[in-house]
Amino acid sequence: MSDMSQTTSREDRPEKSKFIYPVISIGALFLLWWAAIKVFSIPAYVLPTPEATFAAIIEDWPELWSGFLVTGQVFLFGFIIGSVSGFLLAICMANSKLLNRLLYPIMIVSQAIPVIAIGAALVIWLGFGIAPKLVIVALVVFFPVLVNVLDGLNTVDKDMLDLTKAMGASWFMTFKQVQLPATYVPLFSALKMSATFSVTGAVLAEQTASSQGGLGQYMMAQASRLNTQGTFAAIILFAAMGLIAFFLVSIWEKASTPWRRKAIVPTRRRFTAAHATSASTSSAAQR
Amino acid sequence: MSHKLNIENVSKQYAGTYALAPTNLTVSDGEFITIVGPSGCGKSTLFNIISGVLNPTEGDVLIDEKDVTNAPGHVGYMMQKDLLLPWKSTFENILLGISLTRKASKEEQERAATLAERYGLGTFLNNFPHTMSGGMRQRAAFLRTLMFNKDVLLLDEPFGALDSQTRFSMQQWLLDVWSEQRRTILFITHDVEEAVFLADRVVVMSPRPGRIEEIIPIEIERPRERGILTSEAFIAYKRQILDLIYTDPDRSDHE
Repeated sequence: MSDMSQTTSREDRPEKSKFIYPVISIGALFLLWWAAIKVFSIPAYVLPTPEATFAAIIEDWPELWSGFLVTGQVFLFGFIIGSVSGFLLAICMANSKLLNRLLYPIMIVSQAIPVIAIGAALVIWLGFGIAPKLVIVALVVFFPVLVNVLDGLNTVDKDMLDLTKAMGASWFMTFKQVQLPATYVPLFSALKMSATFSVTGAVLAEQTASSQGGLGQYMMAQASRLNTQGTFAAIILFAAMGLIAFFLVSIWEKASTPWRRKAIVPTRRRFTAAHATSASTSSAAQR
Repeated sequence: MSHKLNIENVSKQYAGTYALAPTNLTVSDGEFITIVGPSGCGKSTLFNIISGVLNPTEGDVLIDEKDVTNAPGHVGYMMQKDLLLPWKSTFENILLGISLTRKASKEEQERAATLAERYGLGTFLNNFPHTMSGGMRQRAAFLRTLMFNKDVLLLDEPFGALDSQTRFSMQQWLLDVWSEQRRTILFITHDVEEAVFLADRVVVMSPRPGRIEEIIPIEIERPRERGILTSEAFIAYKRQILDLIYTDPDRSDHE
């Protein structure tokens, strides 16, 4: 593979060095937090120090962790339901002008209604179980995914579709090889945004349709007792949840869209030189 | 030579007006036809009908005496835009015509790689298209058309977006490939020089309604080199075609 090195670009450098920047910036954020408390002598019941917050996390870890899992579950499944349904509906709408015209206004109206307001109604309909919470998180994710995937499908050149038609391709093959990959870039933009939005959705869901054991509920309980450290402990875990989700989506994105950062296709897709040289010597001029 | 492609009385109407008036054209096997004409003369309509993407209002398209009217998948088609898929490598793009219908066999894969090597894309085989120049991308698009493995190739201004130097080297490249691969080519261009340089016959089309104005056989020997561009015969053909294009009965405002 030595001939491949010719096009090694800046982006192909080892990933390791990139991790240093977020570590520095988040570290600086904690430092700023800490410094602000010292400089302005902010009392602990208004804003706890980072170390007090981490102490609170460690102290109450079993309860926080189980809350993290409960909320994480709502977050994860809501995220999946919302993005899958947004994605599927986008495909239907892209393939049917009628459906597109009929549904688009409804989609926009649905976004104009505050999620909280829907949440109250959902509790009435679905009770206090996991169902209304999943719906709330899914609703938060659904719209950005739908709009971005629709955009992606519409960026496919009409001439490209004529070409695949002239090549005798079926609808499914054209979809799979031409239209679907065109949605990846906008889809992942939407998923990255949604990864953080859905945490908000999960908190909202627990406040509206609160049942037992979630991190959002933990936070509200601490806040009502004016336990600022406990409240911040929950906030830190929410941030961690959003970060983890964002990070996972980013990794997935990089694996799915290599053409955006690389010059050469991933190894398993390469046509190896061994084949090519043996073939070129023999049957080059013949057809 | 036998007839490869017959266009018999083909026409296309939109809302009662002709985009393409009834048109007849017979193309021999291995012939290189170029088509020139102002916009609105029905060139692209004709191509869309031949490729089976568009259904003609009347008339038939025959390849090897077989009716292929409104049946896609019988000709190779290439446009001004290279339409390479950014997420596929050059190699995968060249194989697109096959991979859209089935999995490419080992032989087909090797043939694609051989073609790419032979025609100057060997080092780009596993590259994504965004790493390649415009000329290289058009080569890949043409090889994709070749690999689709049809005898008749429709090229719709394939070099229209290239700078003039790249364009000239691409014309020579195309003639090399054509002389080795023996396909029948129909080639739309705006460039009269390009039309004469490449063609066995130049088809001049006119608008309102879109129709074939005249067909001019180019009797200049092959292989053709750059030198012929300034030869007397070449310039005479060029003048004849320019006169046909710009002598429009509807307008007298040209000098």
